[in-house]
Amino acid sequence: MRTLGLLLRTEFLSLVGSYNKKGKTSVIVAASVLILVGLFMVGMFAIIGGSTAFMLVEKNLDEFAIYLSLSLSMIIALMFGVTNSTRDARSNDTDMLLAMPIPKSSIVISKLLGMYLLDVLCALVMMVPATLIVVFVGEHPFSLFIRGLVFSFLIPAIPLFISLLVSALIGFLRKATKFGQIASTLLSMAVLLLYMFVVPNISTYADSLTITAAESVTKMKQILPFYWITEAIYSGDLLCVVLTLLMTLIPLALAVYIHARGLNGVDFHADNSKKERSYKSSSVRKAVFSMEFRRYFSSTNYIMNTLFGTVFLLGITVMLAFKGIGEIPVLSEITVDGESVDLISKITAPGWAAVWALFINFFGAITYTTPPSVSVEGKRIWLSKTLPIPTKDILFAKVLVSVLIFQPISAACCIALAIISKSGILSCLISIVITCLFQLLASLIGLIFGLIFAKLDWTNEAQVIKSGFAVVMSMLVNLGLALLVAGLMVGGLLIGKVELTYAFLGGTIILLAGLSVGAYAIITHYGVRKYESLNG
Amino acid sequence: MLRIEHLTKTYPGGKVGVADLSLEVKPGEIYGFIGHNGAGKTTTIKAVVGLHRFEQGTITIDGISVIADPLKAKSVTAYIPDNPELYDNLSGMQYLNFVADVFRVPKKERKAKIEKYASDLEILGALNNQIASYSHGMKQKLAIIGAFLHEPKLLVMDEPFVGLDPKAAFAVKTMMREFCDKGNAIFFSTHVLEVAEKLCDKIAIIKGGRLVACGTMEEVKGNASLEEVFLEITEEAK
Repeated sequence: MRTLGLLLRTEFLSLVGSYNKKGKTSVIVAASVLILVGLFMVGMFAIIGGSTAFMLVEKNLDEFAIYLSLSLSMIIALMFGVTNSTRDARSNDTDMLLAMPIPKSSIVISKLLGMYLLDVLCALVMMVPATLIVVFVGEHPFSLFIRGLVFSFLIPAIPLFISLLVSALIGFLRKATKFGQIASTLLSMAVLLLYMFVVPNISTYADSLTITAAESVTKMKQILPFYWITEAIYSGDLLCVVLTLLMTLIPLALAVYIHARGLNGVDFHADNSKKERSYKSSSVRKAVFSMEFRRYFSSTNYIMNTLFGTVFLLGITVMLAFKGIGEIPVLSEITVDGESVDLISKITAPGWAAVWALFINFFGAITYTTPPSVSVEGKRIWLSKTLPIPTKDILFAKVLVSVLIFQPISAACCIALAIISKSGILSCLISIVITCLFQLLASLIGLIFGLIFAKLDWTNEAQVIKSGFAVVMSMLVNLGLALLVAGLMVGGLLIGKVELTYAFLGGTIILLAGLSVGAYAIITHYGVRKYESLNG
Repeated sequence: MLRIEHLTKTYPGGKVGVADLSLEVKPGEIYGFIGHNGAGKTTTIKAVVGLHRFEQGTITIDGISVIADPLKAKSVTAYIPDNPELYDNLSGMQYLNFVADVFRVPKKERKAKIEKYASDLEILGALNNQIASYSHGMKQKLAIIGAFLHEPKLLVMDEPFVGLDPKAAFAVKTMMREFCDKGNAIFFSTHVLEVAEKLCDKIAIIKGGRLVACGTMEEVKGNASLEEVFLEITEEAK
C-alpha cells in the first residue's frame, strides 16, 4: 500500500512536471493550473451533458437522456483511451519500476488507476448533471441519482478495456507488420472525428429529436448493452443491474490482466529474421523523398499534431456532404433589415470557387507539415549532411511530403464541395488550382520558418510542434495570407458580376504563383545556406 | 587521400576548436587521431565530413575540396559518428537501402555486400527490425555497414569501437585493414591507445586544438609504448 501511494504520488508529480518543464513554477502553482485546465474541460463537458439532458427531459424522454449521456461519456473516454493506446503501451519507466522492490500489483494498479480515474471523471461529468436533471426536472426518486453515481464508477471499465485491447493490437501490428503505424494513425483520426462530430452536435440532435418515449426505447435497444446499463440506472431493474455488473466487472478484470501481461514483458514477439529482405533500389531523389515520407508517417503523435487541420477539413467536408450546404451558418443565417436573405441561391459558379477555396485555404494554413520538418531531424541531421545529397533536394522533399499529403485531400474536398453546391467543372478546377497554389506557398513559408527557428535538441517529437516557434510563426503568416487571399476573392464576390469574379480569381492565382516563386527563391538561396549551417 | 592544411575552426564565443592543423592521410593508410576529451578530434572530423564550417585552411579528399565541391567530396567519403543517431522508425534494411540508393549501389551488389557485412557483424537477422529496438552496439554496426556499403575512398570514423562487442570489434578491425589494402584510407579518432598502436599505420596527437605530434607509429613512439608517449607529449604541451 505504501509503494502504491509512492507510485501514485510520482505519477502525479510527473504529470504536473510535464506542464512545468522549465521548473520555474512551484509544484503547487503548476498543479493548480493543471486543475484549472481540467475544471474548464469538465465544465465544458458538463454543460453539454446537462443541456442535452434538459432538452430531452422536457420532451419526456427521461430514459433517453440517461442513455445519451452514457453514450457520450463512453465516446469521450474512448477518445482519451485510444489516443493513449496508440502510443507505446510500455511506458519508459516500466523497466526501472520492475527492477525495484515494488510489488507488481502496485505497479499495475498505479498505471491503470491513472487511466481509470480519467475515464471515471468523463463518466461523472456526463452522468451527474444528466441524472440530477432527470431526478429534479423529470421528478424521479433520488435513488436514480445514486444508481447513476455508482454506475459512473463502473461504466469506464468498458472503454478502458477497449483501449487496452486496441493498445495490444497496435503493439502486435507494429511488431509483426508494417501497417501498425498506419493503423494506429487511422484509428486515432477515426476516434477524433467521431468525437468531433458527436460531442458538439449532440445538443442539436437532442433539440431536433421528435420521438415518443416508446419509440426511444426501440432506438435504445439498437445497442443492447447500453440499453441494459440505462435500464439499470433508470429503473434499477435487477436483471439489467446484474448484466451491467457483468459487462463492467469482467472487462475490468480483463483490463488488469492485459495490463499486467504487458508489464511482464510478454509482448507480441515477431521473428523478423526469416522475413525476406528487400533490396529494391531507386533514384537518389526518390530515396530522399521516400525517407522523408516514411519518417513523417512513422509517428502517430507527430502526424496527429501536424495534420489536424487536414483532419478537420476532411471531417467538415464529410459533414457538409451529409447535411448539405444549407446548414452552413455563415451562409444560411444572414439577415438584412430583419429579413433572412437566401445567400446560397445568389452565389454564382465562380463565387462558389472562391467560397470553397477560402474554406480549404483556412485548413491549409493550420496544417503544419513543413514548419517542424527541419527541427524534427534533430541529432540525426548528420546523416543528411554527410551524404552526397544536394541540400535543395532535402528541403524540397519536405515540401513535397506536405504537398502530397494535403493536396489530394483538398482536391477531393474541392470536387465533393463542387458537387454539393452544383457549381460546375470550371468552378471546381479554379478552386483546386487556388488551393493547390495556396498550400504550396504555405508549405514553402512553413519551411522558411522551420529553417529560421530550427531547434534540434528536442527529446520528444511533439515538443518540436507544440513548443516550436516555427509552427506559431508559420500559422500566423499563413492565416494572414489566407485572409489576404480571402479579401481579394470577397472583393470579387461583392462586385457580383461573373466576369469580374473570374478576373479576381485569376488575379488570386497570379498572386499566389508569384509569391510561391518568391518563397522558392528564398529557400534555394537563404534556405540552403541556413540548412548547411545547422548542427545537431 | 585526405589533406588538411592550416585548418582553423573557432566556435561562436571565441573558443578555438582547432588551430592551424595540417596533416595528410595517404591511400592505403589507417590514420589514428588521438587526444583528450575536448582536444579537437571531433571538430576536425566534423570539418572533414562537412558538418562544421571552418574559417581558415583547406581540406581536400582525393583532390576534391570539401568547400568548393562538397557533394563530390561526400560521394567518395563515408562517416561513422561516435554516437550514431539513425532514423529510429525505419528498419535496418530500409536504412541500408536508403544509403545504397543515395550512393547508387546496384541491387545485386548491395545484396551481396549487405549480406556479407551483416553476417560478419552478426546483425543479419535483425535487419528487418526497427532501428528503435537496436542497442547502441547494433546501431554502430548498422552505421558501419552503411559506411562500407558504397566502397568509399576515405572512411572517417569517430570512436568506432565504442559499444561494440569483442567479436564485432575484431570483425571491424579486419574490415578496416582489408579496406585499406585495396588502396583506400581511414582516418579515425580513438581513446583506446592499444587499438591505435596495433591498427594504425600513422597517428596524430592533438591537444588544445593543436597538433602536437604526427607520423608513422615508429616515428611517434620509438621504442616506448604509445600510452607513455601520449601522456608525455600531452603533459609537455601544457
